[in-house]
Amino acid sequence: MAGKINKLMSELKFYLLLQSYAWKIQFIYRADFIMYAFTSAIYIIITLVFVGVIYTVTFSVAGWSYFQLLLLIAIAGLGINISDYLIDSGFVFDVLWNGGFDNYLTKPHNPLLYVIGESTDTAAIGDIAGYLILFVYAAMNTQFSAPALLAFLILFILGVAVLSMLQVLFLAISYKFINKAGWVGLIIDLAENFSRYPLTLYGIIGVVLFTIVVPLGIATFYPAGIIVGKLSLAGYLVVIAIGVILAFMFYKLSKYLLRSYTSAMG
Amino acid sequence: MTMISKYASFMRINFKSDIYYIYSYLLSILAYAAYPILMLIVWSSIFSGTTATSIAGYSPIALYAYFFVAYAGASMQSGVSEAISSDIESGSITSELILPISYAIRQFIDSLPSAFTNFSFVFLPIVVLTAVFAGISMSWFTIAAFALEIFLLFSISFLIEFIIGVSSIYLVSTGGISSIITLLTFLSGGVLPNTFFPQQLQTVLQLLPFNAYYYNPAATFTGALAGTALLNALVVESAWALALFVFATVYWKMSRGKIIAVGG
Repeated sequence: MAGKINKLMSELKFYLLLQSYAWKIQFIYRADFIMYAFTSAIYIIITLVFVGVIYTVTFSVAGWSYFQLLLLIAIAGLGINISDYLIDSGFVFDVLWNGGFDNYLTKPHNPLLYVIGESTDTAAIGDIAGYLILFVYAAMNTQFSAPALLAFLILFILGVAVLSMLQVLFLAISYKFINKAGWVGLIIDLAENFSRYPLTLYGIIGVVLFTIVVPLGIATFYPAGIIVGKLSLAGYLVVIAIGVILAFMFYKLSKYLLRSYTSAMG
Repeated sequence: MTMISKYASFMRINFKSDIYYIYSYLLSILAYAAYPILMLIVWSSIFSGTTATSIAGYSPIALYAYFFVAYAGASMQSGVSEAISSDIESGSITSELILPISYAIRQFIDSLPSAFTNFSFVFLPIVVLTAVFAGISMSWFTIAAFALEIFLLFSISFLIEFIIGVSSIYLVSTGGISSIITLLTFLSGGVLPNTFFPQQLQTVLQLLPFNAYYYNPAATFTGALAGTALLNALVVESAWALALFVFATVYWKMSRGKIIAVGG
């Protein structure tokens, strides 16, 4: 047990080291970083304008008020961008596809953690910061209790973990069956757009799709629902259970599919 | 003739490569149709909750048609900057420059097969289906103007992408510029028709080249852009295409001598 904890701590330390390298690299591309941050800021403004336009002609969208919808959009943006920050699916796929994974297998660390750590997308931090500001602004205009905030945090963290595991699973599927990874980003982008609105808008098919098949809802709709009081305690517990099961399933399935990795480098 | 056959070979190879990855095309159709479907759902919910029959001059059907055509048009955008940046960053551009063909023309030729396949398999089916379902009929003049706008869309996006790609010679990374341009195009009719925005912002957007990406083709299709306003839009787009062509030509001639590459 102690050995396992030591190993875990060692991997965590190594991951943090990779994070510090990723940030050092990012600061070499300072102008680029500033432009990404600028883009994020404009995108948030566009979102505010868009939602503002919608609410000039209606009082609610699927029963969600202006600030509630802003909160949902902020949570969706945070969840997806944190997941993007953690894993750059294009980078990891290229490593697998070009046979570069061999290098990682020779290192005394978990190879998947190593390649994921190296794929950190630091540019996503601009979006994360922007959505965080939007979240605070929307939350200040929404009433919620401290336990609701705690419940939100637990579900949100689980949701981001599920989302990250889903990206790894998609990569494994790409590697094993499709030979291209462009669709991973595409599916996530599409799902991101849909997860910015209440899932109930899409009927039962949409709810099932975004809760189980592409479970973005676990990181977006349901955490927002618990804050604004639209998710009951029973519903909350069911979503937690689904999240845990999916994260475990995605992990096991990814591990199984990645067993087919074969060396491609000399 | 020999020169044309050389470029034709590149076109043939790229076309085969595009067709080989047919799953990507099927997914492209999904991607270009997904946002309009989302907007259809969102705006249906909004229209059902209001007594208004039109918003900012758009009836529900016209608004849905706008989004479908705007995003079908997005499939005609060029994505050449990434390829040029990659050539410059990796140093492989040195091998390209010693070939007996123009690098700039080669990039344009390379873009054509994708444009053709996107036009045939994504753009045209979406536009035709939208016209049928929305019951839109267009005069021959409007069809000609719409076709010209699609050509200008491809040309303007190619030229802007080319300029961004060549900027890799001076910049360490062009990702930031690309993201700003993408955002500006998105602002120009990608989120909402421009008529939803304040008048001052609409005036500024009309003078920029980015309306060519989403707003102008889609608004022409739905009839929101017609008559003098349509002619003005075509003049502005053509002027931008010409200006960008001149700038891109001069910029490339000026920049190619500054390429420093190791390896390749």
